[in-house]
Amino acid sequence: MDKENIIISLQGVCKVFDGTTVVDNFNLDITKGEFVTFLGPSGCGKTTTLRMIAGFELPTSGVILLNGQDISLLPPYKRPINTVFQRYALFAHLNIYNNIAFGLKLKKIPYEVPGVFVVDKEKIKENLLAIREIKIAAGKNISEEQQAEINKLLEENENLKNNPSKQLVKYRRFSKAEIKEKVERALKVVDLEGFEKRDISTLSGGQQQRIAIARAIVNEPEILLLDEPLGALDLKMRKEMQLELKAMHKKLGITFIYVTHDQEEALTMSDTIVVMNDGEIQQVGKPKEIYDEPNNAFVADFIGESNIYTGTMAKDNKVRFLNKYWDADPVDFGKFPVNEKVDVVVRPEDFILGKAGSGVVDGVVSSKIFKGMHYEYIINVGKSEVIVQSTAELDEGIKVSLDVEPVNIQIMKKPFVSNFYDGYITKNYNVEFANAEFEVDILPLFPGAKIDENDVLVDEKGAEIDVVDMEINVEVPFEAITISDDPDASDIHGNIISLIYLGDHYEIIVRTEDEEDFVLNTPDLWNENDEVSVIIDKSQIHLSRKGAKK
Amino acid sequence: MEAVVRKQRRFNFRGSLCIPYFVFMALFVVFPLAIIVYYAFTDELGFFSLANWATVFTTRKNWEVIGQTVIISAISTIICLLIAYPIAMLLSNKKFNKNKVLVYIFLLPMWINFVIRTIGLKALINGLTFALFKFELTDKYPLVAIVLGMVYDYLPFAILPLYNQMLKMDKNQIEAAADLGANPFRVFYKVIIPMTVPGIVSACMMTFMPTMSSYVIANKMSENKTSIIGNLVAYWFADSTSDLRFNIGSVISLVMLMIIGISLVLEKTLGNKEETQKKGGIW
Repeated sequence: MDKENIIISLQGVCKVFDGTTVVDNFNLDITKGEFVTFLGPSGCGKTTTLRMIAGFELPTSGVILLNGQDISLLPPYKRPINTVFQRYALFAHLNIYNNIAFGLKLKKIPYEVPGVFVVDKEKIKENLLAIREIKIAAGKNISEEQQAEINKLLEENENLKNNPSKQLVKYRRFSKAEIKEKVERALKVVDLEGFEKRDISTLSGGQQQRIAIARAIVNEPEILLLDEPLGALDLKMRKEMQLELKAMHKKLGITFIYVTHDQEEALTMSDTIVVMNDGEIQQVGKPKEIYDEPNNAFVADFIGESNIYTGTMAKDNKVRFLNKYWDADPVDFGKFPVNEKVDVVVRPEDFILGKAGSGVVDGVVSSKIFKGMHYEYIINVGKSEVIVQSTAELDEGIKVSLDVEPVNIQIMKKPFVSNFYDGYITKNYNVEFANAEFEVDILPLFPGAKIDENDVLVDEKGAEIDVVDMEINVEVPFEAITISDDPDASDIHGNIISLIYLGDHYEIIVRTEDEEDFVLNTPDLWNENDEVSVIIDKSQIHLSRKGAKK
Repeated sequence: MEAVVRKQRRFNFRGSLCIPYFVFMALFVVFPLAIIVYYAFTDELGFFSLANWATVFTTRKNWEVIGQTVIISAISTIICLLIAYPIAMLLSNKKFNKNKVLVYIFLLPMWINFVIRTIGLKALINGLTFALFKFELTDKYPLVAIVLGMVYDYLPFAILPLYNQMLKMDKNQIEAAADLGANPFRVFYKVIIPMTVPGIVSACMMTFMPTMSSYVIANKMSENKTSIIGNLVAYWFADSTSDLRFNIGSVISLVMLMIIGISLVLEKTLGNKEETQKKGGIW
């Protein structure tokens, strides 16, 4: 990326609200004139990030640089950034003209007074600071060189004091005529000419949103922030406004930062999409890159329709999923060790349908939906379901074969295959984590130790080891967890907060009241927000000591 | 046809619920008002006469008292507003006033008897000024004492409507103003004040009207040295020995009623633009 052209740069930005990390280590550079979209489900931290750029929230840590200058702590009214709010936030007590002119009336414009020069006090101050630094660096013994440097600076200051050299800059406000012209131009941009005198309450939602946009762009900000600006509009209006916003972006040349949870909106409008989840960036890229080459299962699932499977890498750059070996994309060669579990994503339109037996795997068409441009089929391959889009018309129940071009098989690292928890050892030498106690053998943690006849843990010499309340790491593989809707099945209860279909099973995340997450795989379909009991097979729980060498 | 007739004859239960209200209003508002009007426009023998009005308006003392009352009420109202506005802002700040306990703390004094409160305040400020300046405030500056008493007694009535209005404020508009380059001071007078105009208007009314007609405060805080309309009315109805005492007293009551009426009309025109909003539910 062109370093010169970076307009805003977020470096290690974090935001914590009441102990909850909302935005975590956010790093992003945005170039001038770019249309960037923050995309993610609600609560992913995208709006908080936008509000930090606008100045309504201050980052807990990290810096925000605007044109290379740190603006992290600058109040919103000092930033050359304007926002279009989700609920418009138009001033109800002002008419349209005064709403749009609000920012213009406050703005101070610097101008040079021709022929008038003043003493450059800033430069003098700078020189004095430089002198002080030299003196501090030198300590008591100032070398001749340093003395000469100081003298030179002093002389320069003397010169500056006697010869006013700096162009005098004064500030003025826009004249009424200028404001009128600018307001009229902004109204023209949003296609609402002649609306100046009208009251806000007489406008429709779409018109109000246009006024909100006009109110922001009339100030000619360096960056325009848009916080789900089309969220309150109906579908038709939204589509129209998407195109208009895109056209406006081209015409104005301002950097747009757009926040939405609508993936289609993001794909339509953006130059760059930043996919976020749980306060972290999942992927940054052009819309096509994000769609074609998703970084992980979350991005693939969130953007467009996807078939996501858990696969295993095999020899000769092959990948096994749907119980068959497929040729993997040559670019993935060597990226993953053999037998590594991976996420495999295939877009529905990338499956090639053929006569039974002609492809890699055969399946049966179980459902068929006409979608205008194409048909969408669900094809059963063994226990797995495959969504396929094709222009060919097939009847339900017939047998077809499936094939995929190797480049269309996206192989992604599985984020992790185990859950990790902080636990501790209880009085009974059991392990407690996620507010539940488990009978797990802790002896392997303490080589040579044993439990004596008084049921006390002792080392080789028979001395008691005090392990009660000792903190340990607990690892629970996905396979060790099952869920049940019987509340008495276990002591751990939670709600399903996420559910991703991975071809032949679902990857489910259960969150307990104490905000512990359990990730597990299950062939059964559950619903989001279902309240479930989490059953853990204690024989698969793996313990390790904190800080122990690996 | 039959159905229609039947419907007309049927006893209207909902409508009948108004009857107690009408009886109440007739007995305690319309009827007393009619008596006042009757007395104001008759002489001691019961004949129509405008002489009472002439007497009231040609007496210099009455003009002084009316003018003084309007000024005291206006000053008290403005002071109440100036104190109540920042307090209401603090109370409506959810971070500062999480469970609304502070609102009750400000309203608690209203539970104490009005007269006791006023006498207590008088003792307190007199004690203070005597200790500091060797004079009693109610003795030396009775007008200041009256204003103090009024501000103290009616402050909660100013806080409540402002607080209610501020709870409804659109926080987005405040952020939008800051976003468009307004510093906190400008945000305040360009956005927050216009948004709270209905609250300001009703806070003014809630303090101006009772201060206009109050009697106890002036009576206690000035030790009868200074009169406002309320005292005047009380004098004519209770203390005067004149044959015309009810007639003159009625005229003065009507004058007070008119001043309040004018202020209500002013409120209507001022608050006209804003949506009609509920006033603080104090009673």
